[in-house]
Amino acid sequence: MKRRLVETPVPSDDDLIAAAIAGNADAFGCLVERYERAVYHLAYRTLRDVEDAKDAAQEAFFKAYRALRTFRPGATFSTWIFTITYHACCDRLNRRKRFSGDQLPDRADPSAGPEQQTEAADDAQRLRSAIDTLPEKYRTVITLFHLQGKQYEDIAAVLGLPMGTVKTHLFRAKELLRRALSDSVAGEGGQR
Amino acid sequence: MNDDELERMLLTLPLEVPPADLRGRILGATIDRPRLSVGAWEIWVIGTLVALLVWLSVLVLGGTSDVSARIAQGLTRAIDTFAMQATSATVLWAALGISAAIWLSHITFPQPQRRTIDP
Repeated sequence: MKRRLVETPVPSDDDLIAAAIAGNADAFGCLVERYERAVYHLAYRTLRDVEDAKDAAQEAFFKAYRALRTFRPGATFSTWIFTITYHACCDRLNRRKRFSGDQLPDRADPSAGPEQQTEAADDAQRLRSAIDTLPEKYRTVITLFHLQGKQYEDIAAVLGLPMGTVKTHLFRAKELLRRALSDSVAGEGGQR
Repeated sequence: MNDDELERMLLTLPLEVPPADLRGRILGATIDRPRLSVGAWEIWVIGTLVALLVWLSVLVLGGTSDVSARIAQGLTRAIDTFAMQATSATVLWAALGISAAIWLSHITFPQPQRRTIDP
């Protein structure tokens, strides 16, 4: 006899938002569970500091929770929460800029030490290191491309930039990434 | 490396793993945040009363207008009238009234259940 599997439908973001607005705390918990990793990823890739990224992610969810009633039905929750996160990151970057002088602190060191170079043997690690060497505006656009795919409109909405600028940034970011990746491959080959 | 290869590499890059305490922090700041036990209407009433009290105090203490003089006169007259007409029975009734008010303010009436959050 065939067993019938009863599938419980996965609630959409809109359903969860409606339930959270109606007072269901668990619904917002589900949204946190669903987007926590992506939000943290965006914050960490933009700020490159664990504590700052945690603070920015927490602030983003807190602001989203408080402004949940203002969320436009039909809009994409991911774009909304990424926009809030990006603004929280910008605030932190501006604060850093104010405290540390003229330059945005690029905390990651492009010339990694021998220990880090061993770790970078892995493709993903190499790509992460290459992304870390990008200037902030390209790094953010690449991170959003990673999170949202080819939804250029959503990326433009998060960054508050025209779509043409986003595409240009993305093109340049990819060029720089390609160069950084081939440099790291050449570097590894030269060492062997 | 061509564009497609780079995009494929990018799109398959695993997301950063958030620190273990992040979710707890987020939930603690949002849904698990302790709520104010006072209702919104209660805050409005208290706020209005305080504002009224401050406005009256400013009028009486700081103002030189007719209103402040009239309020001060009225208060003095009320105190004088009470002092003149106060008998032992009036004082007793007033004391009873005040103690009843204090006693009533200490009684807890059954409240409508507030929403609780499951851990």
